[in-house]
Amino acid sequence: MKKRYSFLKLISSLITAAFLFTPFLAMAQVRTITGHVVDSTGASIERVSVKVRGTSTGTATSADGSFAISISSASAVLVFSNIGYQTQELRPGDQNDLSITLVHVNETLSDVVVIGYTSQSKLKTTAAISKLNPDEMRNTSNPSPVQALQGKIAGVSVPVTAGQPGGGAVNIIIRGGTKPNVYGSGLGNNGGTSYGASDGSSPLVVVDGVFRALADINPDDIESMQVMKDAASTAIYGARGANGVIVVKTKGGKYNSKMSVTLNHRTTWETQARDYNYVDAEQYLRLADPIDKNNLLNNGGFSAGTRIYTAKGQYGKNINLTALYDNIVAVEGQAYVDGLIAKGWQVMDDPINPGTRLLYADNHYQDMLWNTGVSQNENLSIDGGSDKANYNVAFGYTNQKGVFVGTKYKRYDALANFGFKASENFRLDVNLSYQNIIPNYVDAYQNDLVRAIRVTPLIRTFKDDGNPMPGELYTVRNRFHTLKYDDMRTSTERMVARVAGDWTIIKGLHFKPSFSYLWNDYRETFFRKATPADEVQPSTQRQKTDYTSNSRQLMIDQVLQYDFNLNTLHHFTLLGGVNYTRNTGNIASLGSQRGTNDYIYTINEPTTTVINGVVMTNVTNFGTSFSESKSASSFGQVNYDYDARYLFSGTLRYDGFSNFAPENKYAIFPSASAGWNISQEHFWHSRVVNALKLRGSWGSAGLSDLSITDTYGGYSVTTYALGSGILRANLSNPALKWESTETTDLAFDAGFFNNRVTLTVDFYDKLTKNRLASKPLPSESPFSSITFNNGILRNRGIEVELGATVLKIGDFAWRSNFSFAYNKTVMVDLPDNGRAKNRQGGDLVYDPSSKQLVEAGGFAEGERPYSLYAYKVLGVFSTDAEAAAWNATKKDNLASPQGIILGKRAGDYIFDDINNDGVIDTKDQVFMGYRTPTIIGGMQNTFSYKRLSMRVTLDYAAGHLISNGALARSLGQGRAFNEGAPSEALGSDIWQKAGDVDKKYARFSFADFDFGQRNYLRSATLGVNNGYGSDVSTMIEKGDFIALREISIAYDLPLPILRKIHSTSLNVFASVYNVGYLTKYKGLNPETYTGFDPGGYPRPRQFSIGATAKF
Amino acid sequence: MQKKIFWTLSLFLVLTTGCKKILEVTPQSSITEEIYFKSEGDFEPYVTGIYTFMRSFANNITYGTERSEELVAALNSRFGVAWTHIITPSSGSINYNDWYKAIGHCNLLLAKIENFPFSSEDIRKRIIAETYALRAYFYFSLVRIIGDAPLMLEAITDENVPLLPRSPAAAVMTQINLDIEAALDNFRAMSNFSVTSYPSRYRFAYASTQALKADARLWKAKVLGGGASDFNDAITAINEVELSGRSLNADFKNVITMRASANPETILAAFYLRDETGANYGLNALPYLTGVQGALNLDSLAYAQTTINGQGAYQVSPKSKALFTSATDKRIPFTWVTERQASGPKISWITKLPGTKYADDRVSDNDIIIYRLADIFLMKAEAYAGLDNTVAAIEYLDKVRVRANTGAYAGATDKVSVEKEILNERGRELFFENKRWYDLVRFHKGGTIDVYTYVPNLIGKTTPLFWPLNTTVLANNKLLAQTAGY
Repeated sequence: MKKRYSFLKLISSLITAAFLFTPFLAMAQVRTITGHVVDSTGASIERVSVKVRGTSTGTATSADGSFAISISSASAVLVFSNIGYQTQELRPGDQNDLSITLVHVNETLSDVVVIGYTSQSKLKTTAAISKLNPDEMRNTSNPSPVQALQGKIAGVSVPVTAGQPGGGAVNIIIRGGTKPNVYGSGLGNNGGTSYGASDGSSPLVVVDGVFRALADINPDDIESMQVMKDAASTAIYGARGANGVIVVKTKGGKYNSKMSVTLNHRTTWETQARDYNYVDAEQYLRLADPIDKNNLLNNGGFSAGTRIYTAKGQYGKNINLTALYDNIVAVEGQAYVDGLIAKGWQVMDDPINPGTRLLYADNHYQDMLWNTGVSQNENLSIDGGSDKANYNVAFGYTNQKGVFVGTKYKRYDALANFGFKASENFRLDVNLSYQNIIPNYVDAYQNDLVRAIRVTPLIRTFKDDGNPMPGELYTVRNRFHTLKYDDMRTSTERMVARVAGDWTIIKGLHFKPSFSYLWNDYRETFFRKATPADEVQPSTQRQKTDYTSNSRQLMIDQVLQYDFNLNTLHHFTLLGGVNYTRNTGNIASLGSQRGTNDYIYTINEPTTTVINGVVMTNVTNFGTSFSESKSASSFGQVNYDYDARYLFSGTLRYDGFSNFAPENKYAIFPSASAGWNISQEHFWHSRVVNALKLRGSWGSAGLSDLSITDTYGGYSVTTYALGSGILRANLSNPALKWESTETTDLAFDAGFFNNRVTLTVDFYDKLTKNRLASKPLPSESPFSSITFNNGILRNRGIEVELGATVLKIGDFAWRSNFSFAYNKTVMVDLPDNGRAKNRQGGDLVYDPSSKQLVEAGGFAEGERPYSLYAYKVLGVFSTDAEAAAWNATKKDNLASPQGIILGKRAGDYIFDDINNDGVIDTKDQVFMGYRTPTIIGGMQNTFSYKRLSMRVTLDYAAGHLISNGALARSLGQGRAFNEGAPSEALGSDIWQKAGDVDKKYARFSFADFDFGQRNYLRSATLGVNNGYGSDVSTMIEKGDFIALREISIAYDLPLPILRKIHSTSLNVFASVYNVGYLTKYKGLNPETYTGFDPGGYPRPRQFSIGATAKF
Repeated sequence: MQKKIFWTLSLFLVLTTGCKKILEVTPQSSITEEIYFKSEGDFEPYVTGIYTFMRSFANNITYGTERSEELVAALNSRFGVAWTHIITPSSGSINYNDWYKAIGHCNLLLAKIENFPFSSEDIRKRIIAETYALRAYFYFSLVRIIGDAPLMLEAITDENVPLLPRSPAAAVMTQINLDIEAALDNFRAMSNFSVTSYPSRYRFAYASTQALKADARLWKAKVLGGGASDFNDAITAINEVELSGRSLNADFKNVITMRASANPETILAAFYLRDETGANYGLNALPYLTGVQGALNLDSLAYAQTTINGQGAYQVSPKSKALFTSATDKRIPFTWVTERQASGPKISWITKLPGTKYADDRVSDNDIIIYRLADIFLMKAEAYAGLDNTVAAIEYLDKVRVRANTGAYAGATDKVSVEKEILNERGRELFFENKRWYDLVRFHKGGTIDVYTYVPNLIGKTTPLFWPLNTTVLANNKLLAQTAGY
């Protein structure tokens, strides 16, 4: 062969030479073709092999993606190939300047993946590792890479449930996580989170070798991201690997490459995607129920009620816009009223007291709250390298404005990656990164987003003098009042420095030490200016707070790796190492009230003020704390393969963590895995299945998220009668052991038709043993629970990743990736407690099949956690007579105390008395389903045609139920005051008048919870049991959805235009993110996994345009 | 080459073997079991801490008030099912873990102090005395709510919690009396003992423990069928209280609004102050401004600016108002004020706990009185009446009536009439002081009234006097039986 090549080369050289000397032979001349190779996003690709088919002529693209090659025939075909991309062939014809777009091939078996402290070709790996296509990180509409992960990798759930700028996911949940409550439950009211509580179950994120958070990393800096799912890949991370591991590598420079400058700009417009249509002021006034009117409207200070004004100026600063027309004319004069009417005030006949005229106005609050948010995103990077050094320096700036007025997320970031070949056998890598994150989010999700945005259209938002009204209460505060008087500033500064060496001691033997240090400084300052004295006052006046939380992480790794072969077929990698990580933190929290002026933002008040002769403290917060935890580990790894056919791998990690008692500090986490590349065997000749690998793994990884007081007990400080008290705060449990998650994974990877189609299927079984969780104790104990190694949780499922080039016709290509995952979570074992299934928590419900009370809910052996129960609705009473007949034999103990006395009326729900005891109570709860999805996945499609490419991504989830709390709470209003009514209140599905039959919704009513039948707002002990949800069966719907997540179009400008601006590539794009949902769920947010959708801040729709230019 | 490998491996080994020591951490910002209760100074803060539980039980009106006749709804609804008397195991049942938390703290403190030497024996005795008194108070609270109750006297330090059945109420009462006697003995054994000594009106002292004893004996006498000896014990205990130097406020206004620390009438109170505690249960009775807008007598209403500080949920019931038969009763304006609108009288707002008006708003942060002298006088009247000594009973009844300006009792002097009057007097004097339901139970068991016809919401119902245990309590301890009647 070699000879023949040489011969051909000689011939071709001769022919070339001949042609050179015979310029008159125009038909067969040698010409030079130049071109430029980019990927689907317009990024230049370097080192792409460019060959003339059937010849040995070849070259490679330079760093800017350009190439020049000589061809001798107009019919020559150029072949462009590069690892990670689909090979493309092109006949240049008479073109001399080509522009080629290579399409990424996801999951090619030749990819290199990181396995713990080393890397391996995907061909040889035996672990379940998915790599994210780097295209997914390009031109993202969101500043966080978390969103870009959504739906892209089988078995990885990224529940982004709210649309606050900069908001992330509750957890990144890999294979169901290792805890029961990974999706969060309840409703949050601080820190901007939409959920109340959740079990921390996020994977370990390793960014350039440093353990840190994923959320605030600039997606534009990410070169590769991979997710490790089974124990074969995570056990090497031991203590921290149980929830999976995400390894991120940021972009570095390349040796021997020319300097390249990349500029990127994106502009995004965010718009509100889904919201209720609230009725206007007039419709709202007509909703008032005559029966409730006296009690609620007139007496309760309700916004639809009226009061008598006696002095000028009272009305102009009163909370309610509703008034009696004649009264205002009498007090303020006709001119004033005429002025109001000119400004949009209206007059109507009082529907409750006909003949009386009402003066009112609609505040148009919804229109003012939700706006289009315009975001800017700029990135600049400079990279290149010599033969001794390479560099990439990047800067990013993001300013994202949310759709909810006054919310934004600002970030400045910088990244510097340097590589030095210090000597022949020593390489040094230095990584520096900096982020400054300045978000303006709404802190109190429940009060400020769920409640305050839904006030009635009759609440005054601005006074006559133009200043904002506070709203009725500070817990349902007018947003514009907050924006005027409150100044909240939060800032996180994060800096990571890492130095890593790679010393080649002898061939194949590497010593790789690394040191990193992470600074994370969070600061939150707040100042509330004095609010006008004649309005409702906050509980603390001129409140100031200054809260700082500083944390530091020191990491030291020492790794020794030896790669060697025995007689060319046996390949070994031996690796051993140690890791030491120390986390320290300190918090300082200061706060004062009763500031003396509005000019000084910082705390400088006297510490006390005398009020009514009593010395009152002005100090509201005052405290500091230190925290420290340490872990130390040693580990070893063996990889062996025979001719890339038979693959074996084993790891062992010995891990210690400071918060366990001495005898339990250390634990061992082993793993073993094997694989068989069947398609590498000599006997394998299938043309259909060109690649096939079977692999299996077993291993164990740990979790140590316990505090030192869980082990050693804690005492907390309290105050009584101005004296300091100290009380035991929890029971100690020095016997606590490491939680460990054992995963068994069986899988195959296959490639069909020369990898045109790739398929990976994984079956896994994950057992989380010795769960670190609280165990309930008998109620006669001093504490209701103790932190305990509380039983075993199983996650079992299947994952499918399918990639294919669906169509390829000429220049047109359609590449598609599809992922599917099914996961089932079951509590397998719990400590004996004498109860059936050793149930923890739960309640008694009547089981109609066995005709007895049974225990349900909580956690129990053999059951899936987080079931959802509700009270079953049989229908709506059409008439008072129907209701009276029911009242004669039944009683609803769950109605309000006054409602019980009143009994049911027409329009109320008929609740099912499951146990037929004549009483509706918690025993009548029925099982509805579960709160969290069992099926998740997504699909990414790339269509490319010449310089144009289009991407369409979808993701989906199924198996979860959602209680439409937002609708329930606005149809059955909790208080005697004030929540807007949705258009459903006047819709065709709701009972409105006697004789209405077959309606889905019970009548709209004010104060349903306080005085009514609690048609909507009733809590089931086994339901979501939250005031912002509804445990009524008609309000619960399936949450299954397909989200059309993103559509984007990108275009590479042709070279002639680029030359004019001295650019090597210019790519422009336009995209729509969160396009819409295909779902039967009627509420705001089908991406709700807490069991109820309280409303608040649903994800916005984002329109982006932008461009990336390289020079 | 060999040398290189040697140095690398050496470095490796050094880093690997240091592991045991490098994981040691000394907590700087938390107190662990390893360091607490190692010094005698650790006991005083602990007993101080336990009082926060006394405060929270004193502030819990679900059990002491809601089932009585005292309250009806005003603008808002904040009643639980107790008010409706629709109490079932699945509705309004109790998880008593908070009581056992409080008891658990006492048990721990008593176990830790048992063999712990103190430099001052007086301090040690006082701490022990207060802890016994607190434990008695907690069990007395529990026995009035659920009757039979498990007797947990052991200090629990790990997950091994013995499962206990419910001891009969009489046995619980025996333990309460043992704890009270232990407390009294320790107070008396202090070298500086004095009956008049009240180191703090917010903590148990000798006389306040005697007040608790009187209260417990009255309950035992009437509810647990104890009879004459318990009435006599109550009288003896009250004699001690009377020797402690307390006197009635001349002006009824001061009874509640004067802070307990300076109040001559207060024997024991739960400390409340806005900056330490926020508001007490009076929050639900204070109206909010938008709810009383337009009232002609707005200036005489104690209202809050917002519903954060005044929920406007309760008002005085017609039945409680009807107890005030004398127009000259000086207590009326400090019990309720009726809101007058242009359209006529509206809600009768409770003024018993008016709170404190601060620069920003009114906050319901009056101390909650647990025992005051007028209450003690009426207890003594009740004990004498129980012994059929109505002359002495009327003597003590009148001490309260004179201050209220309602004149000496002039009604029938038979036992039943006097007992009825004592109950009514308690209804007037102690309105909204979180005692009424227990009073009704005592007088019901004592035969003065039939609570099932007396409390409007209880008419026609058979709800037991004691609460049922909830499913969590029952599920976690198979030895527990549900409260009788459910």
